[in-house]
Amino acid sequence: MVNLEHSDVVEIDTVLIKVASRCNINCNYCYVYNMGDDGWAAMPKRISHDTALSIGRALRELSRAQRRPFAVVLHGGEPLLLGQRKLGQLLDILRLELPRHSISIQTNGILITEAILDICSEYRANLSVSVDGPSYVHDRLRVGHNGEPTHVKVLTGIQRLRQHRDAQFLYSGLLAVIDPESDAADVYRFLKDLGAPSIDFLYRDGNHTELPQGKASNESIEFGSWLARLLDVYLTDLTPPRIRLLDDIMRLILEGSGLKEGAGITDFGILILETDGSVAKNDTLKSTYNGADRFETAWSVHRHDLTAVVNSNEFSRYRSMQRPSSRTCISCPELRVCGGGMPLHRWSNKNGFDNPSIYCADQQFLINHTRKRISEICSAA
Amino acid sequence: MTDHKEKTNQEQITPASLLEMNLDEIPSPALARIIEEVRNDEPDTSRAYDRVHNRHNR
Repeated sequence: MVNLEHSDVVEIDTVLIKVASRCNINCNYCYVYNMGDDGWAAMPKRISHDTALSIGRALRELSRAQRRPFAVVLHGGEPLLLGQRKLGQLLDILRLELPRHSISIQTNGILITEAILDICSEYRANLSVSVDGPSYVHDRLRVGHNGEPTHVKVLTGIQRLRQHRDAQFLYSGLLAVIDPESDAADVYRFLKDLGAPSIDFLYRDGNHTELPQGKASNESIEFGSWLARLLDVYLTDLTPPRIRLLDDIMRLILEGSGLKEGAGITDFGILILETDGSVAKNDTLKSTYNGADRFETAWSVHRHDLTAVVNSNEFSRYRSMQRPSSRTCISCPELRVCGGGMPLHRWSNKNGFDNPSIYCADQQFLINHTRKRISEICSAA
Repeated sequence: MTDHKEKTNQEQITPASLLEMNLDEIPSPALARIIEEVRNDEPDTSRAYDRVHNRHNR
């Protein structure tokens, strides 16, 4: 029986700071703006200097209270909407308070400039860029506010990143949302040719009440099949980049640990700080119902100690959402690998989060395909 | 629920046996790397990942 008991000691391993609440593009599938949540509208457009100072102080205290460090991720909206000056100010504050912590930026890439990269290099903040594949894939859904394509601008940003003198540090990876109608091998080759050391793939957001785009039913396996084809290409490539999602599945099958939420049964400690300094739940919950990412207690870095926040009963209940509660998941022989997937994918208006993932069938298919492929490769060795 | 499990090899290699394999004999660099990382109980973070990982799935 897999142990689903939670650890009593809460340590944060990721702090996500929403440094900008708006975005310069309007991806069709965006969980922040286009899946029913309107929390962004109440936020300041950009993080203020006072909030940055409060966050810096709060994270310094959190760091001192914990045994181990955490990763800081600048997010949004589009974080580079901060602009060069404010980005520099923010990084200056964070580095003063957290001199040795990892700082990364998740960006759509369109606003990457040489000056921005110089600042990131100076303050040791690396970047990951969101791109879904070749233009015929990417421009279907990752469009501007007038529906215009964005692929050319994104690639221009990626090129600047690749060509920077500090690219080996700055260019940490690419992030792609799966389009199950695309050719997985085609997407893999295109993204590999962009030269990132690491590529991650995401399931489209959706749940039992609102199916993800491209998924016909609870039982269909469009996404699992796509990932299985991706795995086949990946495992036969003699010069592969790292594919985080597939690596996690393989590690877990081999009884190791995963690196990110969404697979395995590790309790991660993810803390979200909004643009106004308020503390929120995992922002991916925005895709379930309006306000799903808000705590009942109005915590803020301006008024509360983060160590007390993360050790509160309310935060503990939120953190426990990572573990599935559905009997289907708990009794599943692949629970240790699948972990019930992301909480947002378990939502239904009828049962709340007490469901298996909407991607359960996909996960089963992918995990079993991965086991089979690993056995085939090693049997032939 | 529809069972989408593929037929698996009857003599499926176990995780324990995989971790004992000679990595040079594994034709897949990606798989060989993962096996080595699990053996060492820590993913190689020298390039792609920072030692402290971003756990957020976005």
